[in-house]
Amino acid sequence: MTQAKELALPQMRATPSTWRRWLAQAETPYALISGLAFFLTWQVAVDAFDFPAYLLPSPLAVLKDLVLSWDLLLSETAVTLFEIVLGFIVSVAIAMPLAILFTYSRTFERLVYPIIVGTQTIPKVAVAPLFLVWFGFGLLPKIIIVTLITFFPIVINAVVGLKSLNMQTVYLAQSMGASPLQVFWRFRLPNALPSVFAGLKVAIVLAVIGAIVAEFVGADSGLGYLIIVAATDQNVTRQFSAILILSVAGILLFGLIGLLERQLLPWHSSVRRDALVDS
Amino acid sequence: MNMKKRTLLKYLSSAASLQAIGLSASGARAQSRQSATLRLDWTPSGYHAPYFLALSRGFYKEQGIDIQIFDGKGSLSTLTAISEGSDTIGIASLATVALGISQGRPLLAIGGMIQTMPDSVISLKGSGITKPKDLEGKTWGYNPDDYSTRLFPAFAAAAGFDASKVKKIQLSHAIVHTSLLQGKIDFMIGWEFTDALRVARQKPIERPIKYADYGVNMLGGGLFVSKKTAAENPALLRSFMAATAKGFKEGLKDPQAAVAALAAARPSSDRELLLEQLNRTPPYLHTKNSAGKGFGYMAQADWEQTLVLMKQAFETFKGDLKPNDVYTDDFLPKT
Repeated sequence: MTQAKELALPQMRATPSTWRRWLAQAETPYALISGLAFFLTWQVAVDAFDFPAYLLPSPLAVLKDLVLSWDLLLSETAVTLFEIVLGFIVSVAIAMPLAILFTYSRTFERLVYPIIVGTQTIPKVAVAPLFLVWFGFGLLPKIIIVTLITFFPIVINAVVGLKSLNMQTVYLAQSMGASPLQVFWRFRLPNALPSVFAGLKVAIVLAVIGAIVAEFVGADSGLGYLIIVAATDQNVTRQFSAILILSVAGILLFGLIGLLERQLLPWHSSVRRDALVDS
Repeated sequence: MNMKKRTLLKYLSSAASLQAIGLSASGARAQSRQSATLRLDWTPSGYHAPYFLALSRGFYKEQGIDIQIFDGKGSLSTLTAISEGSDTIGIASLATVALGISQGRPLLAIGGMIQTMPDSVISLKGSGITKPKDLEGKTWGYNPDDYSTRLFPAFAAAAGFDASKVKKIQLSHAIVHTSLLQGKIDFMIGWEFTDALRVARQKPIERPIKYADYGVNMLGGGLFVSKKTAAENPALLRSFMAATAKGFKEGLKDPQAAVAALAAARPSSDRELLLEQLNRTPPYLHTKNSAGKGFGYMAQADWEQTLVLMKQAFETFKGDLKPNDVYTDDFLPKT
């Protein structure tokens, strides 16, 4: 719908008012409205039903905690963000080449794919403690857990995307003398990108979960660690602060991938909006 | 959200079972009988066995109570089950109960169980840790959600060593034993009659160094109810405590039978381990202040120390609670 308005406006008016165009394109104002409504409902519910603070703190109390302890929260957020981003990058670096191998070698796919599916059925929470014992207590086990948890959607979506190239396109390219490498870079990969990005978007959200799982099991810092300590303190407000930050960080990272997608695939923006609805 | 849902589920399940009991009892008896639920702090350990013995031998029935025992998932979730009224009586660390009360939870401790903290320094044989001073320069695998972690500074002060010279690695319960056995850490702090046993089954250990031996002690697992139940149903609580005291008396006399009762109710439990845990429980059931006063008796002095230590260890411990705000011995059987 927004799409139609966006296209229609310039034709209907010679000089479309800029704010209307902005409103048609932007997502942030809408997100702000629904976000505000959410917090308002929360505040009203806490006031109306008189929930005790040890069960559900009011958003104002959480905001107060965020403001008063911003320095602590910021440094813990930095730790967790670093784990999320690094784990995600490692995951992409492993998943993409693997997806390409799957696309080109049926034998390799038959050999390795079932193992990858098999590892995915193991809940990461169950193996996280083992990783700590195996890989020590530093950054490494956290990166491994984030990588493991994000790896699957990236591979799956990349394989689907890479395999979805129309054979006629390949034949046409080949008939014009394109080398296999050229077919890959000029046709197969660009064709797969929308699907790849769908996988990346799922993965970045999972990366947040992975980092927290890892920190729950063993960490000296980070938001996951903060949540455990706050639970022992029976400081529910602080738990909510950390959860809120995590949620915002997840949204921002998700938006960042979306931004990257728009830069790389300007021609594909309509599909992007559909994909967003899908996921 | 999740917690709410769980509470609701628990409420529904206990309501359903109460109804079932009500239906099976005859009309006349149903009037004199009362139903109640007991929510444990965790899945059952050896020290929970006497409750199951009291249940299976009908001690609660004798007192006119139909009781059901449910497992817990940590002190904190039991606190919520009791303060929100989905269960009648709870078992949780009484220090945690006090922290909850300081935050406005309407709770009251009605009986002590684990009154001497079993929290001890555990290290492998040959670690060189035979006295507290040896901890300086050693690596400690600690868990941030343990009270023993929060009390470590108090322990260091009481035992005369420098806590800042101890190296720390944060580890969850799931891996701390393995890490100790592997030598990745020099020591852990755990319960003398559960964690130390588990480690000792794998490798020989040094004699555990107990916090309480240096005068650092807080009340541990004990019984508590909501203020509402305490005000509205003192008769029920008196009956419950009388039956429980009898369960402990009989259970400690015949640990085999107590463990058998527990194993019958929870078939997946490890009998041998439960028996060993129960056999080692008695010294922890009292402090020197409450010794000889019967099961469940809590001494004012122990509560005073608990509140002082909690206030030191927790920023979130609000207000200035007095022992009388958090506990009562009124429901205990008169001896």
